[in-house]
Parts: sequence; C-alpha cells; structure tokens
Amino acid sequence: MDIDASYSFGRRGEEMEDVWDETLNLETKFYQEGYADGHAHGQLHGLYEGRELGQEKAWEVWEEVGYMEGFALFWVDMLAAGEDAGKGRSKDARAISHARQLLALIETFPTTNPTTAPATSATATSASAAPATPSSSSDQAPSSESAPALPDQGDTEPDLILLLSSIRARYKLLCSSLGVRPRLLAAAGKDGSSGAGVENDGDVQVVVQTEGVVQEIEGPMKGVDTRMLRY
Amino acid sequence: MPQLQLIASPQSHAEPAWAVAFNPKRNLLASCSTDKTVRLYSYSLPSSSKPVHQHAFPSASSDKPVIHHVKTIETEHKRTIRSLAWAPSGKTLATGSFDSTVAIWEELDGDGDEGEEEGQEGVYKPKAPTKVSGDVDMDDDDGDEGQGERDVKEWECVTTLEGHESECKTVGWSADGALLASCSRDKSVWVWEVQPDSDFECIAVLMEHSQDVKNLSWHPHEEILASASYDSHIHMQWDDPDGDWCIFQKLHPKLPLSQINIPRSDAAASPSQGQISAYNSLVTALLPTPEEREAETYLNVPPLLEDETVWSLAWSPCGRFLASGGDLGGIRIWARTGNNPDSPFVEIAHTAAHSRSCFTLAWAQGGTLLAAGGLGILASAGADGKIIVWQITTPVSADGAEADAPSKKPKVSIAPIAAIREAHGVADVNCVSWLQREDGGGQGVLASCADDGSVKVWRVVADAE
Repeated sequence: MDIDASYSFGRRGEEMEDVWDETLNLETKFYQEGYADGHAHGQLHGLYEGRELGQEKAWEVWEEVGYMEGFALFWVDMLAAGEDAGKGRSKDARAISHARQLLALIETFPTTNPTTAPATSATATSASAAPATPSSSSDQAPSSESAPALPDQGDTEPDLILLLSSIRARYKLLCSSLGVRPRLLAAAGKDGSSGAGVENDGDVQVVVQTEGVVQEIEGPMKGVDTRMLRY
Repeated sequence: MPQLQLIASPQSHAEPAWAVAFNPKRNLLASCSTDKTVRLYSYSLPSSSKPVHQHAFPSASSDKPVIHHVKTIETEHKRTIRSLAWAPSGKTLATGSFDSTVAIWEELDGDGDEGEEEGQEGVYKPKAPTKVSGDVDMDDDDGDEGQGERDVKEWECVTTLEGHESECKTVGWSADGALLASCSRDKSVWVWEVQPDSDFECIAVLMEHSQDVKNLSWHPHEEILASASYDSHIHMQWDDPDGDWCIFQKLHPKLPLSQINIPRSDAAASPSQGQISAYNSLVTALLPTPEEREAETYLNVPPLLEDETVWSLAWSPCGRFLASGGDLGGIRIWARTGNNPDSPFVEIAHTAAHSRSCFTLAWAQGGTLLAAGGLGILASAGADGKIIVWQITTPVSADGAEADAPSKKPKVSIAPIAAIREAHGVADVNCVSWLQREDGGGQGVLASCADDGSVKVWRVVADAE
C-alpha cells in the first residue's frame, strides 16, 4: 500500500492531516501549555512576594521615620517649655527650629500607597509601599514592573529617596545642635533585637530575628534577610 | 621659560603626608599625616623677595626662602589626619581626620588662658622639642624657634566637631572665616558656623551626593561651596536667602579630553641656553619617556568608560572659574555665567594633564598680569608623581575688557609653563599649596607633600639655573 500521505484528499485525507498535525505539533502544544501555566503561577507568586517585600520595607522605613518624628516631638516639647519659662538660649532656638523643620518634612512623607494606574507600572517604589491593600490592578504582577520610579510623576508624587535623605540630613543637623549623637542604625525593637541584621549576639537572637528573614515564600527570596536589601 | 626649583625639603613625616597649607598671615607652613601629627614649619623670605615686575618670577640664582621644621603637634586624633586648613585670620587651624572628627587648634598665649571651652578634648600637653638624629633637612635647627620670628608656642585643641559617621576627607574655611565646611565618606557635607568662644554650630547637613565626598572648596569671596565626589559630580551649594543651605547646581563633566599644548614660542625665537634647557625639561617632564611609552603599549589598558571621580577643586583668585581634577588625570575648567551667587556654571575646557589621578589643584595669583588676561597660575599634582604649573589666561578684547558677555561661554587657554616629574620619587603627590600673602611676597612658592611622608617646597623661577 503506498499511500502517500501528502496526497491525501477528501474527508479521510483531512483526518490524516489532522493526525499528522497533532503529532508534529505535540511539542509545541505542551510547551505552550507549560508556559501559560508557569506564567500564571509566576504572576501570582510575584504578587505575593511583592506585597511581602513592600510590607517589609514600609515597616523599616517608617520605623526610622517614626523614631525621628518622636524624637523631634519630644524635643520640641522640652525646648518649648524652656522657651516659655524664659530660660531659652539662642542655641535652643536654633534646635527648636530644626526640630520643627524636621517635623514639617516628615509630615510630607506619604502614608498611603497611591493606586497604581492600569497602564503605567511603577508609581511607587517599594520604599513607599504602605500596608499592602490590593489595588484595583492587582493582576499586574509587581515582579514585572521594570520601569524605574521617576522622581516626579505629576504633582502628587514626591521623590521618596530624596525626601528620606533630606529628612535624615535634617535629623543629623538637629542632633548636632542638641549635642546628641544620632542613632545610626534602625531601631532596636521591643524584644531587644538589634537592627540591620548585622549584629548577631548569639544563636537565640538570630532565631528571634526571623521577622527580617523571608521564610514562607518559595523561590529566590527564601532565606534572604531582606533587611540587607536596604535602599 | 619658567621652571620649578626645589628650595627646601625639611624633615617631615615618616608615614604618608596628606595635606599642606601655608598660614595666610604668619610665616608658617603646616602638614598633616597618617602618623596623627601636624608638623609646623617656619619660613623666611629673602629681603629681595618682592618681584621686580609683578608678573616676573624670580631668577633661579636669587636668594631663596628658607624653611625649617619648628614644631610637631601630637594630636589626639585616633586615626590619620587627612586634611587641614588655616582660617583666614591665621590664628586657627582645623584638622579633619579619618576618625570622623574635626579638631580646631589655636595657639596658646604666653599666659596660657587660651580657650577652656565646652567640648574641649585633647588638651595638648607641651612636649620637649623633638630631637631626631640623622636629619637631612637643609637647616638642622629642628625644634628651635624660627629665625627672627616670634616663638612658635604650643597649640591646643579648643574644640572637637563630631557628627560625621565615617572618615572626614576635607575641611575648609570660607573666605571671611565665618564658616567651616567638612565633608566625609558618609556622603555628607556639613557646614559649621563659628560662634564666639570657639563654639561651632552646625547650620547645614547636605546629603545629596550619592557617594564618598572627596573634596570641597569655598569661593574666594562669596559664600559658595563646591564639593566633589566619587560619584563624579560637583555640587555647588549656597545659603539660599529663603532660609536654607541648598544646592543650586550639580555639575557633571562631559567634555572630552584635549591634548596638552606645550608652548613653543619662547624656545623658538632667539633661545638662550637657559631657555632651551628649561623648555627641554618641560618637555621631558610632560611627555612620556620611551620606556613609559613602551610600558603603556605593553599593558594595553583600555580607557575607562565609567564616570570618573572628581578628586580636587580649586577656584581662580578672581572667583569666576573653578578647576577640577579627575581620576583620569585631566583638569577641567568651569566658568560662571553671570554675577549672581547662584549663577550656573558651564564646563569650558578639559585638558589632559596627568597620566593618573589628579589628586590636588591649587590656583593663585601670578604669572601674566590681570590686565593682559591673566587668571593666575594653577598647580596640579597626582598619582603619577608629577607637579605641573599652568598659566591660565582669558582672551582680552581690543577695548581691554573681558571679552565675554555673561551669556556667552567664556574661553580660557591653559598652557603648562613648568613641570617636574618624580617630584617625590615614586610616591604619589597628595597635596600642593601656593604661598599667598597679602603683600604679594613669595609669589610662585609652592609646597607639596606625598605618600612617602615628605614635604617639599618649590618655587617657580624665570629661568633655569
């Protein structure tokens, strides 16, 4: 029987063509299925990881900024009391004005994450991520955002890195005018664990500091101490 | 053709010397080093030191200034002293150290009631004059008083300024001495205001560099501060009348290198023997030797494409130009476009100078007269061990005025007039500083210090010996 498949015609020919197509395209079909599957999976996990990272960073940033705010508030009260009592010195006047300027700067620091527009991606760096409320465009995986955050996106978006560094500069200035050494690292927490993940006082402390280490998420973030990923 | 003549090599540090500076009011030179000390040298100018013509450098055979070491200040700094600066009054010395502090030093009066101030640290206990055997300096009066000078008394640390988080790289006083600036590896520039009683109040912390801030320099008359950083930018800062210190411009170098233009005119027309030899020495100093050329081709180092660190800054005495030295050894000139304190600067020239990093620049009056377009003499030195002296001039239009409307880009021409290779042997030259006195004496006297701890004093002479 020398039936040449390529010359098949009629209904029987079509079936034979389909059969050939199927077998020949098997590879492609599985590839596409696998790809689609993995892509969706990756998107989902990327979103989770992004939210996790965002929460982490937000906590760290605000730990520092909050400390400075509390510090400034305290000193404003202390020095204002001195001023009222008529015992203020010119140095204190300088310190108060630095403290008030610091508070003003901190006021401008955003506490909410603006809703990401569907078309544009990076309107907020992870340093600004607030409590991770799912935004309306949550199908957009943060891991696919590759555009860097622009310093000035419209009137509403301050440059956060710049703002953070000017807050820190103002804080150092305040410390200098008060004669106080600024605390260099992000906080000791209530459990007495040290910040920045650099100092390990012993095994117990390391275990306690798991808040900084990503444990739950599978993938490249596992076991990474995100506090080492400072911005 | 001018030349650089070595006039003194006083006994100095055993470890790398990082900075030298002449006291603007007194006959003192200071140097600082990794050995945590500051050395003071006294100098005396020959009585005939005033140049006959304002633009003429002295002859090589004329009397030389005499320099010798008079005091070593053992500071309480815990690490290398990286920088020092004299206040314009000549009474106060600031030292910046790798231990992240800046110390302020004043000389004790005879009755010893010099500043017992708050924050006083490191009271200097007077030591017997150091006697070191095996001196090799030209004058062996180590530790004695200066010739015909009043005694150099003890120096005391009256204040220590803390605040930087890591190594302090440079300190500098503003033109009127009311402000002191310090910059550090922690990417910040701090500005301190001098209060009465040696009290210093920090009035600004600027953290806008993204990397280590290597150098800073104040404008010669106004309160404008330039800071240079490893991030290849120069930030121009001023005290905005609206209330705060801020940066009004960030300079980023862009111009490509242009080759050194060694002037030939003097040697070409009726050359004297001295002129020929001086010209030859300039050429030998600046151009690579056959061995060096061979070594370069053999090594085949591809040119660096990344942005280069800005290591050094120097303002022109007139205040309209800023020179910066980079990691690739080139010198750039920036010109101010306008007369306001916050007028922007533009890059107008970039000349090849050194084969390695240009660590230091110093710009002073001298050379071609101001009326003829002279902007002064610029000294540069760096890791290639060379010291080069440049004459900088600006074209003058027919009516004698400066040829540029503020909106046009000014032009300058930079030409080397004297050079020395291996000024301190194989050691990198870390700092150069011109002697600049109000009476104009000692023009063309230059001090330099290097990684081998040596301090040398040179002068620009009109002809070869």
